[in-house]
Amino acid sequence: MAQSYYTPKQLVSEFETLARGNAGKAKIHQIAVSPGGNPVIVLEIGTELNRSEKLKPAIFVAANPEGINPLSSYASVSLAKQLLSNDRSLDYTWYIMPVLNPDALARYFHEVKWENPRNDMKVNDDMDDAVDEDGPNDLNRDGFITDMRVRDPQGVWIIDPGEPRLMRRADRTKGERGVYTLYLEGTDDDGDGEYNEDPPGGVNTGVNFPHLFKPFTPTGGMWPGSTPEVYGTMRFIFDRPEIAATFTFGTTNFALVPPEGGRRGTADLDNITLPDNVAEMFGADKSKKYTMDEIIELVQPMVPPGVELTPAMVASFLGLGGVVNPLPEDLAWYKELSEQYLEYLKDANFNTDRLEPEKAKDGSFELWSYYHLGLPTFSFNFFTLPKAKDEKAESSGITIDQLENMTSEEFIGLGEDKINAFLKENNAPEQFKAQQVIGMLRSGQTNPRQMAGMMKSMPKPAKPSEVDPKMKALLAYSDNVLGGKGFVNWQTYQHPTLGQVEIGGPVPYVFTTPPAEAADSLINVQLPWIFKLVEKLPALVISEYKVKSLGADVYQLEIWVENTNYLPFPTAMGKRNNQPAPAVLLLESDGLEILQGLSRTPIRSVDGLSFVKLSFVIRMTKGKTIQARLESKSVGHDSKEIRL
Amino acid sequence: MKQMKKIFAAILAIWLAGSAMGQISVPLRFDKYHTYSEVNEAIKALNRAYPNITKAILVGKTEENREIWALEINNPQTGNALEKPGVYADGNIHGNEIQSSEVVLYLAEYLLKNYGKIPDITKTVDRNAFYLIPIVNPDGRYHFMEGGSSMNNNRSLRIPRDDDKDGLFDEDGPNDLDGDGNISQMRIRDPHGMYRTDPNEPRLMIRVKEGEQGEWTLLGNEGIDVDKDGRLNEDGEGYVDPNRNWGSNWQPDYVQSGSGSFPFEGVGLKAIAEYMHARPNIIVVYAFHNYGGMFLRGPGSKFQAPYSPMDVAIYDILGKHAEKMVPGYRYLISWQDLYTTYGDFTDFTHNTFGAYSFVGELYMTSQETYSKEVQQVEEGFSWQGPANNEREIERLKFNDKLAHGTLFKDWTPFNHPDYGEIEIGGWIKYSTRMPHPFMLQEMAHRNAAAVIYAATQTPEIELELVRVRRLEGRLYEVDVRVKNNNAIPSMSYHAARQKLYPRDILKISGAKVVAGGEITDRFNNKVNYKIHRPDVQFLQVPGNGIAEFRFLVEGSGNIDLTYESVKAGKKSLKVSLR
Repeated sequence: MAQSYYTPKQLVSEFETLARGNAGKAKIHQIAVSPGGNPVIVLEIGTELNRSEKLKPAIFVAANPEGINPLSSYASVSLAKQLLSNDRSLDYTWYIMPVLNPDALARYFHEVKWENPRNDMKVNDDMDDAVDEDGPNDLNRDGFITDMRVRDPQGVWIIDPGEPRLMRRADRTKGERGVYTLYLEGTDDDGDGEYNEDPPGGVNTGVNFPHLFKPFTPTGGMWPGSTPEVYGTMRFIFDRPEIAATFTFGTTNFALVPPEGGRRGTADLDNITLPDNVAEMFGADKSKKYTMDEIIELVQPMVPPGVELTPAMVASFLGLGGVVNPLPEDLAWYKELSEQYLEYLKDANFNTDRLEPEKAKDGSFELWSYYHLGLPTFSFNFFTLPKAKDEKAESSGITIDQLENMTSEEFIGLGEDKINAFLKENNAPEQFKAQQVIGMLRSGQTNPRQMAGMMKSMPKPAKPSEVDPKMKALLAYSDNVLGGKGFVNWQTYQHPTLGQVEIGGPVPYVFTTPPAEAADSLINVQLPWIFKLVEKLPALVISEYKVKSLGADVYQLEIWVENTNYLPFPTAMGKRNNQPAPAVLLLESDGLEILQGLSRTPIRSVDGLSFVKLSFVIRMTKGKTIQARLESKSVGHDSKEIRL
Repeated sequence: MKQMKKIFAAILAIWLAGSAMGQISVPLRFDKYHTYSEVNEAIKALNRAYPNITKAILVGKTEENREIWALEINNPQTGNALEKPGVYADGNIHGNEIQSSEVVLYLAEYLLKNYGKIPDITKTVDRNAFYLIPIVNPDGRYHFMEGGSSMNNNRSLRIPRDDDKDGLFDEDGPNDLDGDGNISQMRIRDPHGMYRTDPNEPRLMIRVKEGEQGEWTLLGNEGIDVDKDGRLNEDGEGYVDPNRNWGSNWQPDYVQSGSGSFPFEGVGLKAIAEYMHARPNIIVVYAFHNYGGMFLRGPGSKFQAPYSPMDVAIYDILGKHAEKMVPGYRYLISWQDLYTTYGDFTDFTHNTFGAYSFVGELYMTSQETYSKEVQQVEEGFSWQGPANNEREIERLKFNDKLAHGTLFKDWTPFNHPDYGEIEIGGWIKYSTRMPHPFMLQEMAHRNAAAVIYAATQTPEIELELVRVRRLEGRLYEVDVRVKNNNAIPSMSYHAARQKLYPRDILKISGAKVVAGGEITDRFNNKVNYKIHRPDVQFLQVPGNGIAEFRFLVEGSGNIDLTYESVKAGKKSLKVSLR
């Protein structure tokens, strides 16, 4: 059982030990050095370590892309150990990256914990004359950077009436006035009037990938891949076309919650409107909507001979832009697999009543993997907080107006519980309890009509807000599981420039990082699903062939290539972006002349559990056998001897 | 002994090859196109001839391990290069666009040879730092000039791509069948073809009309079907377009062909980006291409927000001068007037480095004239390229009378392995997109002058004391003016808004600064006081504009004012309090 999580150095040494102990089955690639000087490594596990062109397909596992999820790095070590322990057959090569952002991970082990996904690149956040000079400070020396709340006439925050440990924004439309300003715990180190505005560190590697990369943000980096961890990862992956799928261990869970859609702007290639000038150039109707195929048909005769128009060329000329939502065909299998996973978890008695995993961030590894690599992209977060159980507050079921028309006996007949609830609901002063009220009614000191009148004149209760379920879960988890250690209760502190403040709030990492002792039990349940998913990855075989003699030495040859597994080759996104390397069917024989068809036939796509048929007309002048070979980077190899 | 002789001969051959490169000497010649190694040799020759004010810097290496060289021009006597406005110019990002390197070389030599002779040039050399990379894509230039090529081949980075998705990479490019260094056109006599000989010019063909007898079928670029898939030349070099692989607004290959797999997949491009990143003083960028006769500015796509109107005003000043300096060239907006691009170089330098960035599209075939009149030919963009026989006939006359037949290869019979008897001919690689060398020098000079003009407009900052006024005792009011004598602001509006780097800093030391701030209305005495750290002020100085500050200081004797800008250098001023 784990006593603690791995530091970046421990991850490297853990993987080095695995590589040493499994020579011939595992080796380490260093793919970058982080700005903080930490190596970014990938452990390769497989049976083809020294082949530069692999025959087996591969899986890439990116753990801890933001560096703030030590649990996910831990899971990557567990995965590596499992792969290397028992005699699990290594049908795939596995590339396992234990942490993409070692600089940020290192921060988890600092004396003062501050949850922050920046690597150690120097970034001048506040654009002044110094770099990284004003980060947060652990003022109350509790080892955590939490929040500070300060009474401030311009404050927009109030203490949540429903849960006094929590803050929420005052709702001015409901007559609430802000009382507090919230800061991150710290001082104004550079004396510029701002607090913690130029903390150490720079780029969040988890948002520095090219898909939906956002320029000019505080932690996104100057350009996609501007930080070496990300650039190194992209190069490593593109150098390995055998990679058939990726798994991300982080904060999203595509195995459970498919990637989100609903963004504006995916180009619809079946409904393209041509801009006026282009329509004119092509001699097209600018009021009509065209499909991509129609446009290619229209334009092909206009390009110089020998140039074959591709959808990408047209899309780029028309400025159609990229895909931003998961394609429906892909969502279909994502959904089906997530339902299966949910069943699997229930069967394993895993509590699935948890907070939703995070949504994938723009510029994240997993979005890049799906949209740019076009690969089946799964992710696991392994832990989110269990949802807080709703305490069913007893409700009185009556209103003040109803009370007005009740007799004392009817009201007393409701019973103490309901009366107490009623009093509480209507903001009665603390000292008024059911017992007391019943006594007053019985003695005739008051009657329901009087009571109602009094209660109507009392100030309306501050409505307990809908407490953020995430915070509610946190408090329940902190109180019930962590013995209160998940939340720092607000304590006053004399701040050098802000005066009296209170310091408190969620403990860093608490939302995503359970105590290390809990890691194994979480991972042991969830990790095996990876192997189930891998079984679903597409695999192509030559399943059947038919030969028909057409007379003389001429034959019609039909070959069926089958995808024996559930997932399509490639994904719909992979079809769209044309990125996954194609499979190719080769026909080889001495004296073979292909009259119709190609000696190398690209197979661009085969749906899950289905076939494509390839047809040839051939002439064989000598010999009677042809070798049909299926070659691919990521969906297997096969060959069949064809007898004529 | 025989062995020794062999080794000696090999060494001699290498030495001779080296000394052959050594034939490039200053003054450079601009009546020819330099090869890849000659350009590098020219950079070194300029560096040898002007050692005090130049540096030859190895920027990085390419996919095929060729070297990318920069020539830096800076007079250390007038200051550190990083403390002067930097002017960057490059060429030949597309391997086939070779005249662009000559423009950059010309610019370098023109600045150097006239330094100390022409006051305007002396001033700009003393005031600016020039970063000149004549060849961004050495692999492309090498294969274009030293291998068989058409005018359109060898643009790419040498990153193999499987264009035809058959699992093989770059296996079926064009082939120089006749070994003349050109990938020309192939045609085959075919009575059912779509073309016949143009009755007005036997070297040209015209399309047959419905019902007319044909004469020729065009077979495309010179080549064979290497991979026997029934298609010719369908998987040549790359294609990764070196001007679509930069890290600004980059989109993958399916959105735009030629993007590469990820930003800066090109190792040479990455090296150049890092080179520029280490020179944050670069404020003007000119990237030369061919062709079309244009000065382009971004944005490259409508998905980017339009440039700030204040920046556009600066672009307009530079661009509108440039188009007058090079007659016929037009100053245009890339996406709006041409087509959408993602990940191009000048968007990157504008967006990431805050440099005012232009593409110079050199040359127009309309300059190839055989006519008494000076003509204006509007050169538009079209999918079909310039295939107007009237113009082609005149170009052929230009070829015959001015280039003496060297630009067009006459149709020549050839026995093709797949097609049998065919003819090979057409415009050679050194035509169409680039001028005959006799026209090179004027083109180079005019375009180099456009760069020099931009250099003269880089910010020139002066720090002036407006006045010192004693308020009481040791308390003084000090008004200071930061003035820019040129059109380009001390930082672009984009850089300021997107916080690419800190704004200019004005610091005061030597006395206690009680209050300080920017004077927002100098006629009505309004000051925007900065409460925290009033001794440090942040500013941007507009083009031909000023920024004024007021400090209330407590002290006596001298105080020091220093101005420091990422792009506009450093200035200091001593002020006596009295």
